[in-house]
Amino acid sequence: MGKRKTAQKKHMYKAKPFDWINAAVMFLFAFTCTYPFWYILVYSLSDPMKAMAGVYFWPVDFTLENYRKVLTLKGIPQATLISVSITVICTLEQMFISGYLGYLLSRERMPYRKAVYRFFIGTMFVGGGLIPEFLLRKYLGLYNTYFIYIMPGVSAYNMILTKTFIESIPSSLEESAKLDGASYWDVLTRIILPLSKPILATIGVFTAVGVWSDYSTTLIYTVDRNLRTLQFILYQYLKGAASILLEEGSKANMRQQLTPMSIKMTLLVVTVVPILCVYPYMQKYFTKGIMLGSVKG
Amino acid sequence: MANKVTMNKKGQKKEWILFWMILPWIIYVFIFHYVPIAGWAYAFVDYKLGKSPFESEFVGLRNFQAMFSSISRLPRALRNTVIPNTINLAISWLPVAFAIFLNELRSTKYRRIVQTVTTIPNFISWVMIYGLMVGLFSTDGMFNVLLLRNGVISKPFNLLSNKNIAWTLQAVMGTWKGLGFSAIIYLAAISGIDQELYDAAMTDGAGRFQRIWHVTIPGVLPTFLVQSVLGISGFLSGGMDYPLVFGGALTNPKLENIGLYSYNLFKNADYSYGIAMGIMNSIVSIVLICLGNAAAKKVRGESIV
Repeated sequence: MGKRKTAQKKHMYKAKPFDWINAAVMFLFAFTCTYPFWYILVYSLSDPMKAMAGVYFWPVDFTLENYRKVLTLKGIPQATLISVSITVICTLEQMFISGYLGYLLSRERMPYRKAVYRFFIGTMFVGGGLIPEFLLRKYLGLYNTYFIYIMPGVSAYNMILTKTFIESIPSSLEESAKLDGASYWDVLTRIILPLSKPILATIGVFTAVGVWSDYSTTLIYTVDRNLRTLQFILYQYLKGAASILLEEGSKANMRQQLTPMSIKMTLLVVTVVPILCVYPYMQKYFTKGIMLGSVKG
Repeated sequence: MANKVTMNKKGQKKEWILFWMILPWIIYVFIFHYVPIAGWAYAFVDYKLGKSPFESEFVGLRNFQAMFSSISRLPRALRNTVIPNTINLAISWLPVAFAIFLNELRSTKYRRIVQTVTTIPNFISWVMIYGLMVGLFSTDGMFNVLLLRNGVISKPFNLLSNKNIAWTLQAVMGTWKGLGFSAIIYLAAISGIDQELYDAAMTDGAGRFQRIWHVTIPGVLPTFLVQSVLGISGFLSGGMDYPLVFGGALTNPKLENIGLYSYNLFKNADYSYGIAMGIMNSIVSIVLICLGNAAAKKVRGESIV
């Protein structure tokens, strides 16, 4: 929005009916994007029995009991541990790998650089598909292990992002460090990675949200109940609630004080809130990222 | 090798250490991304888990022929992929309209709030969105409780497992999830439009809608066309997330698309047939990418891939 236009508008503009309708329609859509989140929060903070009879904008009989009970349901503490640990590990891994590969591939002194670069980019276009990948991982003994979650992922897209970013760092920094006898590893860890913080943070935030929201790895690669993630348990609760709830809420008193809906809504809040918390950071980056892409193509 | 001095175009000495540093990752990517492609060979045998593929019986193209047999659910899966994709194509102008109207909001602050809030659903997974829908629309969800209590309805309605509106719901949910995010690229395009065009239009006495019609829309059209062309390659592919999460016994006949069908074949250990289908799907996608690329060349004068 050009400054001139806004300045001009301020002088002579009077709101017309169109503006009111437009603003109202926008409000409605924004409302549908926020109210569901508010509703699950309100439901999870209400007394389960009262909530069953209807709860809309404000908690009925405010209580935190739902959280205390749901977070101690059989399987949930373990799943929380898995979800949090794999999110942290995968995020750090992805940031490091992207920085490492992006740095090496931005060095023009690397032999066969073009070919190596194309080799990595190729993963974006060809792949074996679900079943061959599954058979390979199973053959390698990764099926039904914790390692399946944390095995390093090479993302060509993230690699391009870091490579482009690192190429904009003045090469004089590296050259002077090399004159002082620094190795490539020293340059990477002491100069390049610290200077690449903005792009690595972007990759980190998006990776974290992706890993936290993933349920299909559990679905495809594990059978062990101790390897379930929070997201997968949420999926199970939402899809086949009755039998699982009875089994999980093994203690009778818990079953009395929780309803299936209150368990679902509380668990949903637990999985959604971390994403809403990092959302402001994401927003800062994705707007920029997309604008970059739109300029290019 | 170290003695051999090779130079690159700029006359710098090649440094082999850089190559050795990346070699482990080349091997890793080769194993986990390229070796599975060799698994396509399974499509030509009758493979059962636990048997070595070399012990399996070679069946030639039988797995490919099976796709067109009467028991195959492929035709249905294709229909359930193409129809939602067609609906999406038909409503792909919605983000453009949303961006234009968002841009017409007078208050910058209000505009930013609306944009921030409407982008959130894009980052929430389908599982969580399904959870939100369960809270609001399931038989014991908020709307049913509200309407039953007020006597508007006598029996709870079940929006989520209603087969007749499965595609509509899919389109509505997809729009709700993606509208704000898809609009960002058009907002960027709008802010890139030369301000003098608006000033000139105003001098010529153009009203607001005339300015939208004659300046804004032509300004975002190229971006819209590129986005549409990029979308073509995905026309015959559909992710398994939405149908797996939202589908059920009642709605699966309408929701089981290519993605979910592949997953179901995998789940039933129907590996050879599943891989055969994956191969066909890849071939069709490549053809569609080439077609899309050719179309882009026509539209923009340059290719996009």
